[in-house]
Amino acid sequence: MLNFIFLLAPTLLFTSSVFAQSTYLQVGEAKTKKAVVALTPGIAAPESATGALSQVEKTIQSDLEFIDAFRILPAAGFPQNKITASEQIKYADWAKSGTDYLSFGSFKLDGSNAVFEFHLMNIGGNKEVLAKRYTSESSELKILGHSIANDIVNAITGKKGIFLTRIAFICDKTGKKEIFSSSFDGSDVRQVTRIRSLTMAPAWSPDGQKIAFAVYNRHSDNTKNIDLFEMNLRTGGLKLLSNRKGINSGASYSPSGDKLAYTMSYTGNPEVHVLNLETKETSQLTHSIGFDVDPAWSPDGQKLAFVSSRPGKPMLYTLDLKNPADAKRLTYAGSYNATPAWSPDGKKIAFAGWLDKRFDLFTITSDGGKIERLTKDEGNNEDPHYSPDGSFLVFSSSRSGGKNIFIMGSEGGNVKRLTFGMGECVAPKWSPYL
Amino acid sequence: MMEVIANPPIQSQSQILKRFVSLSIALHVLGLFYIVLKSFIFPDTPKEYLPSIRVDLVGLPNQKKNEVPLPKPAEIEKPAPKPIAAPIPEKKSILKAETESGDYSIAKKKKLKIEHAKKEKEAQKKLKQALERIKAIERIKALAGGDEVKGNKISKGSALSGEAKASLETTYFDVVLERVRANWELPKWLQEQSYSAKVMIYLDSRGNMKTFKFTKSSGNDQFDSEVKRTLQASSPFPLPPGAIASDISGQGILLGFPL
Repeated sequence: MLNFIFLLAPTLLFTSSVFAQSTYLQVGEAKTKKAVVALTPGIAAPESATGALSQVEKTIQSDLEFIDAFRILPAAGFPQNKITASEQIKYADWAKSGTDYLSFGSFKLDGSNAVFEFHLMNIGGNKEVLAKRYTSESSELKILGHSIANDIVNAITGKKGIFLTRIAFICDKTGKKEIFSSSFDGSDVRQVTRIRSLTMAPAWSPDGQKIAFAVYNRHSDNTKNIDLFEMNLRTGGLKLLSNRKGINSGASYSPSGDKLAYTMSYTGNPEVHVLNLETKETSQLTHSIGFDVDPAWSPDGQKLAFVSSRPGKPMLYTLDLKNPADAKRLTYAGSYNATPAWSPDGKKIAFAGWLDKRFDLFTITSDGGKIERLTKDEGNNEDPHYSPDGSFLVFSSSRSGGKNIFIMGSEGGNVKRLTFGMGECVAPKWSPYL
Repeated sequence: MMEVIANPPIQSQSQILKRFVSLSIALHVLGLFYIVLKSFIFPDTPKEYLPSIRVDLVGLPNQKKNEVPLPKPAEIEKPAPKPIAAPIPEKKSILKAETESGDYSIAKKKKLKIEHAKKEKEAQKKLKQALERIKAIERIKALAGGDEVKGNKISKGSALSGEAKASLETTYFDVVLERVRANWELPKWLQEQSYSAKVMIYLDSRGNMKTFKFTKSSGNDQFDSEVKRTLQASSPFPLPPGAIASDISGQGILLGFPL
C-alpha cells in the first residue's frame, strides 16, 4: 500500500500540472477619468513677482481645465505646502491625495523678462516628465502661461497643446462682414480684415501665416464678382488670387501649402479647381451637371472632400487626386449635406446636414461607413471645423439666438460659446498649431 | 565436492522501504523537472472566463452621438456612379435595385424568423441552467451558513466538483470582475489609443493580492501604471470560497485590460 502511495504521488503531480489552468477574465473598456494636477505648491518667487506669477498660473490652470481632461487640485488638498526640489516630494502622500502630476519650480522677474523654471513630476511613476526654463517678455505673461500649458499637455498626453492656436471667423459687428480672429478660448479678439464689404469662407494656410478668403468685390467695369484673396497676417498685405467671372470662393490649402482648391463658376457651373500657388496655373478637378463646392483637402494631401448636387441634392463626395474623375459618393442620407471638414487623423469628416428643418452637425467615417450625430434640438448648427489635435470642433450656431461661434468636444459634448457682442458670426476655421 | 551456493540475502522491510523512497524521490525530481520544463516550453494557456449572463445593449436612449436617424445608404437608393453621362439608365438601375432588395428582404425575413426561434430556445435553455446554478449555490450557502444547531452541524467540506464547483467559480469571478471594473479608469488620451495589457494576479485565502505580474505589458508606462493602480485599489478582493481558494492562490487569475 505504501509503495502504491509513493508511486501515485508523482503521477498525481504530473496530471495536476497538465490540467491546471488559470482563469482569464476580460475587464473591458475603462471609464474616463480626469488626471489630477497639483500646480506649484509654495513656488519660490520674490514678493515683487507674485502678481505676475499668479497671472501665469491662472492661464495654465484655465487652459488645462478648458480641455476637460485635467482637474486642478485645490491648494487646500496639498499634503505639502512648499516644494523647491524633487527630493522633497513625499510621493506616497501626494498619491494618497489623488494627485497624478505635481509641478514645482521658481519664478522671477529679471528686468523686462519673466523667467519661470518649471518641473512636472509623475507621481505614480516617480519620475520627472517636464523640466524647462521659460523666458519671456513680462508683457507676454499670457503667452508664457499658454506655452507652459502646451508643454504640460504634450508631456502627459503625447499630443501637442492647442493653447496658442487661434480661430478665424466672420462677424458683422462693424456693419460689414469682416474676418476676426480669437484665441482658442474666445479671448483676445482681433479684427483681421478691413475690407468694408462682404467677406466669405476664410481658410488658414498650413503655416498659419496667411488666410485666404472670398470678397464680394466690384470690378473696374462696375460688375460685382466674388473674388479670392490671400492676406499675409504678419504684414497685413492683400494678394488677389483669383477673379474670374462669377464665384471664386471656398478655398482650402493643400497640407504642403503650395496648392489651393476652391470653387470657380466662370464656365457657368460651379466646379472645384486647384490653383498651383507657385506656377499660378489652375486645373479643373470636377466636371458635373450639378454644382461642386466646399472642397476640403485631406490631411495626407491625397484626397479632396467636396459637396456636389450631381445626385439631385447636395451630398458629400471624395475624390482621389490621382484620379479626380472617379469621385466617390460618401453620404446618401439627408437632403442637404454641406461644409465637409476632415479630422486631423483623416479618419472622419464632420459636416452640416439638413434634418428636421434645421442644420445639425454629423460626422461620417472617411470611408462612408458610419454616421454619428453631434448636435440636436439646439438651433441651426453649421460650419464644423476640427482643432489641429482633433479633440475639438468649432462651429457656428443659432442656439443662443443670433448666430455665434461655439466649440465642443469632437464627440459632441463640452460645448462652450466663444463670441459675445460681435453681431452675427459664421464660418469659423481653427488655425494650425502656431 | 559439494558446491555451496550461498542463499540470496534476504531483504529486510527497511531496505525495501529505502528502495521505494529512493524511487519516489527520483520520480518526484523527474516530475518537478517536467513541470519546470513545461512552464518554459509550453506556457500556461489560461482558460477564458465568460460571465454566465451576458447583457448586450440593443436599444439606446435618445443620445445625440449614437442616434442615427438617417436611413442606411442601401435602403434609400443605389449610388449613381456616372449620373452625368447616362441619367436615364441610372433610373433603371435604381428600379432594379429596389426589386432585388424586395426579394431579398422576404427571404431574409424567413431566415430571421427561424434564427429567432432557435435563439429563443437556446435562451430558455440557458435561463433554466442559470436558475439551476443559482439554486445549487443557495443550497450550498444554506448548508454552509445556516443556523448551527448542536448535533445538527454539517461540515462545509473541503472540495467541490462538477456543476457545484463551476457555479461557485462563476459567481466568484463575476464578483472579482465587478470589483476590478469599478476601479478601472483611464484618462481620455489613453482611452483613445488601443493599448492592452494582461496581468496575472495571485490571491491568498483571505482575498488579498499576494502578488501580480504583467504577462503582457501595454508598452506604455502610463497605461501599465493605471492597470497597477486599478489592481491595488481593488485589493483586497472578496473572500474566495474555500473550495476554490487553493486553485485561485496557486494558478492565479489572468486579467485582460481591456481584453
